[in-house]
Amino acid sequence: MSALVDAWQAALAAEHQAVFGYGLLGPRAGTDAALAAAGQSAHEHLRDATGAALLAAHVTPVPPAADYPALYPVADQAAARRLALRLEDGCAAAWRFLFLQAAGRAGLRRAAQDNLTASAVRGVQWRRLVDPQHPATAFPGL
Amino acid sequence: MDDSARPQPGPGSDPDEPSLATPPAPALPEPAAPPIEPPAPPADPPRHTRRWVLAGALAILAGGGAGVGAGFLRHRPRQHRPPATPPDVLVAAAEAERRLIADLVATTGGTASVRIVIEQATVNHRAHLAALAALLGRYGPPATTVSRVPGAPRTRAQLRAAEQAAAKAAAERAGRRPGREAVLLASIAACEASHAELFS
Repeated sequence: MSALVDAWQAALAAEHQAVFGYGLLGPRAGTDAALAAAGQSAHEHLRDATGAALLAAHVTPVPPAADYPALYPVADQAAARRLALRLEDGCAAAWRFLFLQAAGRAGLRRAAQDNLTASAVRGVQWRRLVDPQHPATAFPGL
Repeated sequence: MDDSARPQPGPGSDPDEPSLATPPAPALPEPAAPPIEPPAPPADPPRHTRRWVLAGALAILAGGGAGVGAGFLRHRPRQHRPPATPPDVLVAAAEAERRLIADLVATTGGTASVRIVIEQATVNHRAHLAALAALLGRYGPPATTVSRVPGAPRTRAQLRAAEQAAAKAAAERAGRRPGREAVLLASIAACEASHAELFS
């Protein structure tokens, strides 16, 4: 049970970081502003839904960190794209790990699969801007 | 353990008070001078009789034979164990990857940007197939030879639909397998959904 809760909290922590990171990169997104806004909105929704699900399971959700120094600096549009890709890869890994730990809990496992897939899809939207020759990765979250 | 509870000699301790550390070793007596005696004559070397040599050789042969026998007994049941049947889910997943690869290889047209996606997707599907083959290999050799899957040229919309269907099927298969196999299928499902996005 503890490993499952740890993985679940890690997924929420990744979502907290993604919300913060999108807020950080948004002002530098330039022509990618709509993509950044969609990403921010998706992660805000996921953060709220994950926190609510943890509360419903009688688990106190982890709070966001006060700051995320590892995400700085975001100097320009290229850096904003790279950061967005990093955030999505981090979320994909967190949801994949929850998928692994949630064996036997079909609903949670399905949610983890859906969120892994959603992060992978947002990831290719950024990856094709960062590295147009290699837009997809074979094993998202691994 | 709390070391602060132990008495410690410190700079303020009484030098006359006996320390709790290791007591000083008592003074050793002066070593006496060794008596001068003639050295003892060397003992006779042991005689290796023919009987002893024969007994040693027999012991070595017996030990070697026991080792070979133990090894044979240890490996024998494994040789006769029938290979486990691979799960249908994994076999179907590998088959789906072969079909996707065949269609992508058969699709030779498209703009430069679409070609990039086709090539990338082909590379990804081959990686999926290799990972699935590695998992299937744990169940023993395949019962039948894998036949070559014929591919057909597809439009961009058809490729997108095929990737979407493959993503859905892989996600459904992931829910039916445990552990590493499930995680691999879940990741494959996410990758195929990302291909669908790239073909849109």
